[in-house]
Amino acid sequence: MSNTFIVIKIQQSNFTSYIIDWVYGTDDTSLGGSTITSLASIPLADRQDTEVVGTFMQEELGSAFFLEKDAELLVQQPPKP
Amino acid sequence: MATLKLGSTTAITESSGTISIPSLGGATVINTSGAITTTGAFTSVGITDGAVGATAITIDADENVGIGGAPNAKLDVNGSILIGDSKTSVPTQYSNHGKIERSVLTIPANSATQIATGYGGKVCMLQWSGVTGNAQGTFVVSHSWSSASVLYGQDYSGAPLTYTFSSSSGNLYLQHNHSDSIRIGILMISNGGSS
Repeated sequence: MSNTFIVIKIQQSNFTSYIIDWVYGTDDTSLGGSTITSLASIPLADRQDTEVVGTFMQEELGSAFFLEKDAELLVQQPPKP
Repeated sequence: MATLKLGSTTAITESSGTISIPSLGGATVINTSGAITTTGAFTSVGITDGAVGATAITIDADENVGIGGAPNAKLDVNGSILIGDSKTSVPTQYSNHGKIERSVLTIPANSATQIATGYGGKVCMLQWSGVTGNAQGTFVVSHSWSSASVLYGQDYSGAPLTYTFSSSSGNLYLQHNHSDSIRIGILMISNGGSS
């Protein structure tokens, strides 16, 4: 099962800047983060659409970012008890 | 009252059981199990008391320390606390302790850079400006073992930038797409465990 990028929350912080919470991985192992970016290039009506923003985010973050996350997920260990 | 003179100089004066010596010089060593009391200034290599006519630090019988007033806890500060900005290493939590720590870090462009260590309950408050260019922002971030979340964030750079916070093995990372490095001030409040 390949790793999947999912936008889970979009919070507007000013007119064009948004805080986007996301997760990446699979049901078995995943990681999450927050990205602050401008969504000015997306029509206002679509800026709360997780699928539209998710597609934009994957382009914005770039392939190198996801290759790095793929490597992190391969070595991800659960936290110490 | 009695005096002891060495040459023409009064070296020791005694009055009602109290001995006065005008000055102890050279490498004089004072070693006493009795109390030492002074109403004048106290100066040493490590401690200088410049609080003229006021009590700056109080240590009570319970070994509590008060600054600016009598202590009601192990350390009681009646006033503001400033945490300096000379530290340039990544802030770290301390096992099974609460900790407040501030650092100033330089984050290169387009590279996920670690900005905090440890996955205990933690809040990081960040403010930055560009080393060159116009990048400015204020963020409050929390993270755990494998996830990070911005609780509050405002980017007020000249041109909008993209900042990504993530967590790997309990460490917080920041990546940005500014054309140059960004220097951030980070204040971390952490709770390093449950014991």
